[in-house]
Amino acid sequence: MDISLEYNPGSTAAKIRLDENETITAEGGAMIAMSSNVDIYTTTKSKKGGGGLMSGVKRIFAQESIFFNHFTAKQGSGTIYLGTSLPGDMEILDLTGNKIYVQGGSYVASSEDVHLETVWQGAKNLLSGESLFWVELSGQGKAIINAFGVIYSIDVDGEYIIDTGHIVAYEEGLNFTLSKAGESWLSSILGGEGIVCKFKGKGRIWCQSHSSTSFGQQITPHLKAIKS
Amino acid sequence: MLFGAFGGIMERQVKGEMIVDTGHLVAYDPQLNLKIQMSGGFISSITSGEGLVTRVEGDGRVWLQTRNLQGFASWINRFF
Repeated sequence: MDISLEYNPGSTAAKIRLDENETITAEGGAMIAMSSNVDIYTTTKSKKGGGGLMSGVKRIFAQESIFFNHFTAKQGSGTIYLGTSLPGDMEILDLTGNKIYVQGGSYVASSEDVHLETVWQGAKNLLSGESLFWVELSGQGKAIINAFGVIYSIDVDGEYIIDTGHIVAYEEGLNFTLSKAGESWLSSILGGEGIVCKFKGKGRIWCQSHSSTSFGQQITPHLKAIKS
Repeated sequence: MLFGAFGGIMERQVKGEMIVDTGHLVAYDPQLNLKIQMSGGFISSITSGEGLVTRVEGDGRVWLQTRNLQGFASWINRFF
C-alpha cells in the first residue's frame, strides 16, 4: 500500500495505491474516485475491530458514520482517491504498536491491521469543544486523519496547552485535563480563551489551525431557511 | 474556457474504465461514456454513503473536485 497526499493543505485528497487483494477501510462517503477493479464492501465494523451494530451506533456520537467501507483491489493493483466534507488538510499516521487517539470526525481511513475502537474520554469533553467519544487506533499499519484548516504536530515532553476545539489527535502517553487559560477565571473568560486543554506526558499532538465548531457557530446565524 | 470547483481540481486520464463519485465529477472529455450505477450491491449502496457512482468508460480526461458541496452543506446543517 502506498499513500500520498495531493492538493494539500487547502483541499487535501489522499491517493491510495492498493496491491492485488489489499484492502483499505474508510469512513462512509469518503470516496472521490477509484479504479473499476476496486470492490466496495460495507460493514458496521473495521476489519480487525470488534463489535457490530452497537459499535456503529457509538460512532454516531464520535461524529463518524455508522458504516465502514472496505475497498479491495481485485485482479491486479488499483488506485483510490479519498476526500472529506470539510475544507482542510490530511495527515498520514504510522502505527507501530502504539495507540493514537483521534478526535471524533477526523478519522478518514486505515489499513487492514489497524484496530479501531470508539472510546469514551470522560465528561470533560462536554466542555472541551471536542466530541465526547474519540477513535482509538492501535495495531500495525497506516491511518489517515483529516482536519479543518492546516494540521501541524507538536512533540510534547512535560506540559503543553492547546485551545479547545483545536486537537485532532494525540499519542498514548499523553493525557489532558481542562484548565482555565489565565491566572483567574475572570481573565480567562474576558480574554476570550475560556477553557483550554492542558496536556501532560510525552508524545506527539496533532493540532488544526481552525476550529470547525466555532466556524459552524459563526456561519449559522447568516444562513437563511429555504422558504417553502 | 475557465471553470471552477469546490476544493482542488484533479485532472485524470481515463484509459478503459474509472469509477467516480457523482458529487465529485466536474467535467469530462466528450468522447467518454458515462453510466450511472450503484456503488455496490443494493443494501451496500444505501448504507455505504457512496450511493450512486458514475462509471466513466473510454479514453479521455476527467476533472474531479476534491470536495463536494453536499457533504459540506450536510456538515453545516448540524449546527443549524
